Amino acid sequence: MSAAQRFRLNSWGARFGLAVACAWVFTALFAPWLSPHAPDAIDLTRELSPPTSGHPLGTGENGIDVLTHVLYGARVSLEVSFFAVVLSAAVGITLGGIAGYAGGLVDEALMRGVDVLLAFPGILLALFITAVLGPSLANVVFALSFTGWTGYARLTRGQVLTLRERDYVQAARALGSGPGRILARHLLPNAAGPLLVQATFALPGAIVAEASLSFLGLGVPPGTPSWGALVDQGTQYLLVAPHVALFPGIALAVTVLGFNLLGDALRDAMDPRHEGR
Amino acid sequence: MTRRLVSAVIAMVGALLLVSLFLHLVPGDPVDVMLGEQATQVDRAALRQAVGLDLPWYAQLWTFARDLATGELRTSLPPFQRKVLPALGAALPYTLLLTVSAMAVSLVLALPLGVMAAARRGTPVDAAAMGVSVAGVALPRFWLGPVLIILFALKLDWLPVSGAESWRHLVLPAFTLGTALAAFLARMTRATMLEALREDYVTVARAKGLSPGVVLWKHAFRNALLPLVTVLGLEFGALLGGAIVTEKVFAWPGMGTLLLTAIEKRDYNTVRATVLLFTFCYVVVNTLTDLTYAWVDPRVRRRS
Amino acid sequence: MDAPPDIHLVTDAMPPLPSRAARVSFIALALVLDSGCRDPAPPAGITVLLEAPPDSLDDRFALTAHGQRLAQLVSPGLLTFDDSSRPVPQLAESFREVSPTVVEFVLRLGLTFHDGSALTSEDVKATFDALMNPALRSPKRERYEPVERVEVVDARTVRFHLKRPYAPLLAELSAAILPAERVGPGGVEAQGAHPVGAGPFRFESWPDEEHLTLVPFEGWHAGRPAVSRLTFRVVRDETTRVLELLKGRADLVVNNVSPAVLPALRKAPHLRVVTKPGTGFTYLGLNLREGPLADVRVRQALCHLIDVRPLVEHKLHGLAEPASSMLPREHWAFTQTPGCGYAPEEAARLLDAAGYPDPDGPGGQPRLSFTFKTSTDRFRRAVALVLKEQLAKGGIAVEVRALEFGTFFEDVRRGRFELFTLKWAAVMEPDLLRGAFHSANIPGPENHWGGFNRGALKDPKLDRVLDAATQASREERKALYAQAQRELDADMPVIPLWHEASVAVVSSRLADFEPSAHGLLLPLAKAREVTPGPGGTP
Repeated sequence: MSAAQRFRLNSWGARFGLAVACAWVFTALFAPWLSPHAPDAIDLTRELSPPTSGHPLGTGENGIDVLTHVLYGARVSLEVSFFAVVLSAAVGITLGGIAGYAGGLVDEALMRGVDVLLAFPGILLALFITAVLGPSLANVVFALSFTGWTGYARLTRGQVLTLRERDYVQAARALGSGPGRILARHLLPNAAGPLLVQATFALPGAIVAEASLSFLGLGVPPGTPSWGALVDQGTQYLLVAPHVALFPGIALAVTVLGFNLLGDALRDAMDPRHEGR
Repeated sequence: MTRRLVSAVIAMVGALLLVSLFLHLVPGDPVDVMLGEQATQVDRAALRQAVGLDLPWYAQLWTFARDLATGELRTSLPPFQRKVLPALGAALPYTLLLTVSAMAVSLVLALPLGVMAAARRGTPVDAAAMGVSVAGVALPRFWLGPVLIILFALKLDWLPVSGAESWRHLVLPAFTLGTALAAFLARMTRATMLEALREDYVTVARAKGLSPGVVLWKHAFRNALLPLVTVLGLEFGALLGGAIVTEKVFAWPGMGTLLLTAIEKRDYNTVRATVLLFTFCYVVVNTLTDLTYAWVDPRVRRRS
Repeated sequence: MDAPPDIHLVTDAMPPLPSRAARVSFIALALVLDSGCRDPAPPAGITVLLEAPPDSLDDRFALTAHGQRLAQLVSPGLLTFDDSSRPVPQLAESFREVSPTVVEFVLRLGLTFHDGSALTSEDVKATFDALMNPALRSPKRERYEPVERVEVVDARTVRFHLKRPYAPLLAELSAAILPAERVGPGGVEAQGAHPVGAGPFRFESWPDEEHLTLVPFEGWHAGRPAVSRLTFRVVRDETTRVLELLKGRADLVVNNVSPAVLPALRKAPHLRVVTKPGTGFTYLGLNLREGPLADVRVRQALCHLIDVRPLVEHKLHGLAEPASSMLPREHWAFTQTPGCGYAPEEAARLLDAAGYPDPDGPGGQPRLSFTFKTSTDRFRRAVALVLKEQLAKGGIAVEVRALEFGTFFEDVRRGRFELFTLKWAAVMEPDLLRGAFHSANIPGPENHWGGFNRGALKDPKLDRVLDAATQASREERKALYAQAQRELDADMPVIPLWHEASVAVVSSRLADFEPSAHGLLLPLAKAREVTPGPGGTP
């Protein structure tokens, strides 16, 4: 059975995860058509009012529509987490591949660099980076990727280390393939499975990290409809308007849940020992 | 061992250089931040000179290292440059207490959940256990913290809101910090248990007619513990980082509170020293993890 | 010995522990032992929550508002300021201007310090002599530059001789009076470790940054405060402060709860919210150095586009007064100026005249665009978004950038901004107008970028008026500041938004607490601790 087949067989978790992922992407793409209001519409007279027919999920700070921000929030979380994961993965896989393949001093230097970043509190790095560069979506992505790549680097390095002694790699080397070609054609494709799983788990991690940055006031620019920013303003009003934090919190939790289940299913599918029962 | 020591030192020096670089890049200095929007004039030049802000960055770093070594390190906040080490010494136990309790909370929650889910793989029990655990990852701490306070401190009136005066003050922060790790651990436990349950010795044990409980806990669980130890070590760093947010919510007087305040005030020396201590904790815990690992698994010991 | 004192270490509670490991286990043990099943009783007396720790309790070194307000409880000065910012006697019984360059103070009868020694004019002279002595290294020394000498006339009378007439000096004579033997550089350590003054409250302990306790002083000239003990606790998170209040574990917060959560506090039977018109001034800063904002018509147009009333009504829940000047309405030097008022048509006319026509009618392309910097504070961000929307209606596009405070403030000081919002904590001495708008106070290398004229207004006429006001008598000053306020109204270097009210949330355990317009803590000396009747506590 191929991995794809096993994945399809895989139970409710995979289906739920996939459904959440699709809904998330759909919402992100079509937020402007789904939303009842504009995300920057302000109405001070309706500030923090509970759900009504005009505002099905109530209003938040400055009278913004919570539903609109939850829907648009999918878009921001998609942008931030997708680009953070892609950037982290690109940097991590490249550096990890180089470290694993080259070995020796290069490996040593890169891995010590990884140690430094792992030992450094991640939230602190992100805090510094956004403080230096100012708040913008791109900078949040950069801040999250600054430490995010280390996981991929370690993983890729480990994979390459075990794979490079395999016969087909040795053969390719004997036939005169250069290191870049061997990495790209032989080593990385075989490491792809675990990396994909890692990325699936990293995605919800990035969503939560963006929210945490917003809590410290260093997330996306003010007014940007993001779940993190909405939960952040909602925590302040938990006593007077609990709905503000509740709905984006649910959206956040469901998305994270979905991706984790998807990750689990993918991992099970990638690992031939985990045959479905 | 030497190798491990060298990489630990590299990590710490690297972290110090990194944090100094950032402090150099972040605009604002202690004097101006402290003065804020003050309605009266003060002698800024003298204040700056007093804390050595007139020196180039490498000289400031050198002074820092020297003062740290002699224990004379003082804050970068004029005019009373208090000693940094006593403040760090006071905050460290609180953070350790919080992280260790959070770890304990997460283990107590995660192990039964994970084992149960693995034992009944594919059933609604599995689904429910994993659902609960994943929800733990999904709840941001700054949301969970206030919600727990409202529920347990305000509505039910069982626990205090914030502070660190008794064990009762520890409960909510430890839960807030521990849930995310608990969720992660539960899934880890499930995965490793599933692997262990497939091993030959488990099949043998089953064949011998041992009760499912004995097979589950005595045979499979013991072997599933090993990867968990590694994960715990690795996650300790994440827990330390998470403590920063949790401490802020619960006014817990640990290193996270110290660090956030120091960054706000641009208290360079305290920021540097706290980051070093964070790194140190991380390095120590990882080394301990490696040692435990070697101790638990003789194969690893022989290899290294 | 002039090493800086190590206030932080002072702890009466526990002896130093041998090692870090021992300390960890000690705390763990202490936490476990303190278990039982009892909810630890709230500490006796009154608990006040602060959002940040004081930097120092020595007024000569305290630079933060918290530090200064706490220092005043322990060691007040000769005079203080009433709600209209007039100087009123504190330790002094009276004061008068003998001549434009001589101010005389007469001390109250029978003043004593916390250590029991008498407070005489020798202590006053010693305090100010020490402050002016470079060896003390007080960051506030420059402020006393106009003082030539301090003269002891008799045990209760002291005179300040000035080098030249300098009216704003009176504000600086509110500095804490300390015992003569402690005022020198050698006494800094003792004063830091265990502050002594003649204030209504006596220092008890400061075990760590988060906790400070004071006890009432029997010898306070107005009688022993009717509070058994004051405990100050630092709780940095606002939500947590609110929850502590609701739980009944805190008795007072002053100006550190945002208006939006006050409804929840008002509903609690054991809490009451008391307010008073305040002196904190929030404004929209403009950069006059270059670009469209250098044109006064553009600045006035911006002012016409901003409608402060909905902000005050909904964002501040009425707990603010729309401002027309930096000085609040209650201030002795306040003058009503026409102000600009909300007038979008007038704004459109001004922008057309200034050469910024609307390219394609209402909506569509903006006439002008600016970046608007603010701190990451939630309230400031929310306000910035409202202002952005208001300006957008008039064809002014604004990009809001929220920066971490240190970064933001550095940008403001260095002139790296177009628009920003900031708040002056408490506007008391009107000479602040000179600090904020005199061309000599544009931030630059010569004042170490410390000048307050951040928008770089240059108005020679205003400069002359403000300079003259420093040397005039009180009545003349009033007229001069009126002139200055009219001039500023025309120049519009900043757009005044509002003066925030002083808001105190008080528990039923504390009676008669009347907040000060400046957010001072001194009203605690007049408040009473009461045992609430049945149903009073939650």
